[in-house]
Amino acid sequence: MESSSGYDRPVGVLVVGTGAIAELHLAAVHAHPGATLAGVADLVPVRAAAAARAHGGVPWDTDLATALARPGVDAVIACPPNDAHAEVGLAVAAAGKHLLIEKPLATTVDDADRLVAAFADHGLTLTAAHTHRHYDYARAVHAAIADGTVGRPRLIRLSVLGGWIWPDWRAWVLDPARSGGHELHNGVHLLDLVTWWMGDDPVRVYARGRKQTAAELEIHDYLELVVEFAGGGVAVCEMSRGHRPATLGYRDVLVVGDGGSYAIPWDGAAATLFGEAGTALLPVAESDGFATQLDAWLTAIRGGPDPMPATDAARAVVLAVAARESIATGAPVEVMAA
Amino acid sequence: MSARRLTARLVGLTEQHPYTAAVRAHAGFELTNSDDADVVVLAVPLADRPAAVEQTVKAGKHTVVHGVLAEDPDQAAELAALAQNQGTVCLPDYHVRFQPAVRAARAAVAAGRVGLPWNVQGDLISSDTAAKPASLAVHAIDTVRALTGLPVRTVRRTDAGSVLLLLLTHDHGVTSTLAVGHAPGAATHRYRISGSHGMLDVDASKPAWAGGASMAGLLTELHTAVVTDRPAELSLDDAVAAQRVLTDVRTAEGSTA
Ligand SMILES: NC(=O)c1ccc[n+]([C@@H]2O[C@H](COP(=O)([O-])OP(=O)(O)OC[C@H]3O[C@@H](n4cnc5c(N)ncnc54)[C@H](O)[C@@H]3O)[C@@H](O)[C@H]2O)c1
Repeated sequence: MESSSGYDRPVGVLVVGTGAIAELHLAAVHAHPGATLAGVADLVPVRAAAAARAHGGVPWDTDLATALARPGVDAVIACPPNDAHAEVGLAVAAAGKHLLIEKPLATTVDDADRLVAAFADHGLTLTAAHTHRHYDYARAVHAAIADGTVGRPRLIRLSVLGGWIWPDWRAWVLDPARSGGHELHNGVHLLDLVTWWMGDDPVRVYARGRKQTAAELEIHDYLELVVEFAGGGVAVCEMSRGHRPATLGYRDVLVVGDGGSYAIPWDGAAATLFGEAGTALLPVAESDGFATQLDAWLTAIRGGPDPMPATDAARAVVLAVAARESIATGAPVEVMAA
Repeated sequence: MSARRLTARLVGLTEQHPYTAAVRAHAGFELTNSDDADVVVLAVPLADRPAAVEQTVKAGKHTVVHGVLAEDPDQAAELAALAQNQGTVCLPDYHVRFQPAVRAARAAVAAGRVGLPWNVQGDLISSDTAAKPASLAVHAIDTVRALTGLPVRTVRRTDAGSVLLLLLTHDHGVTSTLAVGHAPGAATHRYRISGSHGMLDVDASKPAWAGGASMAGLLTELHTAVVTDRPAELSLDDAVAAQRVLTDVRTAEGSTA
């Protein structure tokens, strides 16, 4: 794989939105020889200041324009809540900086298209953090399909099930106006993966959703997203934060093709620990997807291949919006091939 | 096991067929070629099946029927009604519900161990590339009905060639999703039941001896029903119900979708 390390000058990175996920990106930046932290920004001063102090005393700002204008800022990793992606992204494009933005690329199809166009117009790299593409399991499935192990894939099943609901009613993810709903928030991960794996154009989405943890939820904590593809294949994605027990962490992949099948069953990536407190799974050690993702983005910035084109991220938004509509109407939604 | 052995005649089953071995191994049955058999196991081509079922049932035989009763579900329903009136024990060969892991799961669900079930996911992917997805589907549909005790209300089908995807709804907002089909070398047969208080993952391809045990379970159900006069837990009505899920969305056990 091409790597972005080994260049003369590291890429200066500004991290915008210093919440939970930003910490993983910051750790990746610190570990990469081709990147250096140039500053941090957050709307909330205490968060920006705390992050700056924790990360080597870099400059911090609450105003994005000021942060973008600081010397040494070549590129931005943006991790604000989903509804701020479009505004922050367009400002970054206008400032002429490359962007790695958290998923979903945007919460509306129009905003996603606007972002893709803005970065293309400026000749800048725009990558959405579809981190799952960089996880070992996802790469293994992609490779197994690409090398013909299963023949032509007819069915792809991907289930990511948990019982961990966001902490309390203040969580912005629970507010569909801010997160776009669970379809946009986590659904995009799965919708992007199965489309990438299938290697075909999606044509139709049918989805079912549930409010399992509390009837008062305004988002669906359980999603079942069915994507039909131009070549006749179908994918079933399950994304859940509504399962019991609350500690559940379950990922399962099944690919059935006309030439064979490939599976990573839920218990196929873990050892079993028989301890005094009971029996538990001991997940295998996986490589750091955030580190691989950063490396891929830096490589793309430097003119290398772009494994996560912005148009793929925009397509995931189209699929997620279609899924939300399908759940609301109970009918399948046709989507145009991206 | 009751001491009473029933004579069974196999029609259309080869010596190699697992059912032949299952009947042969079952203490409650004795194979015969005679027309006087108590039980007839029918595995005849679809075109001949309705007549064969009718003849066997009218002859007062207890019957196991492989596959749908007739291509036309209405004709199948008439045959099921005929069997009902005749008072003999007639079963479709839905042996998966008697598979040991599935049987344990049915008991666990019925005992509330996952709380109120709200979703079932099932995959029945055979290595037999000649197997028709629709023929496999009735087994998976019957298994979901047995696991939840709930009829199917609506169906959405996606035909992906070697795989058929069925999205079902049941009463109480319960949903289920079944992927049935085949792929060379595949051997996936599993059900996952999600409930308000837990989740149950059932691998119906395990244990290694389970295939024979599921057929033996069906035969025991038949035998017990015949010798004790208690109704069997399934009947030809179940075959009609599973068939309607595949053939007629509107009438799938009262569907309106
Ligand atoms: N890739 C992944 O696997 C993954 C996992 C979790 C979250 N995410 C995504 O990461 C993003 C952040 O999620 P989080 O869990 O870290 O949220 P968070 O609430 O912990 O952090 C968000 C931060 O952004 C700040 N902020 C809000 N609006 C802003 C703005 N306009 N400009 C600058 N800062 C702003 C907030 O003050 C907060 O500090 C979301 O887009 C989410 O979808 C991705």
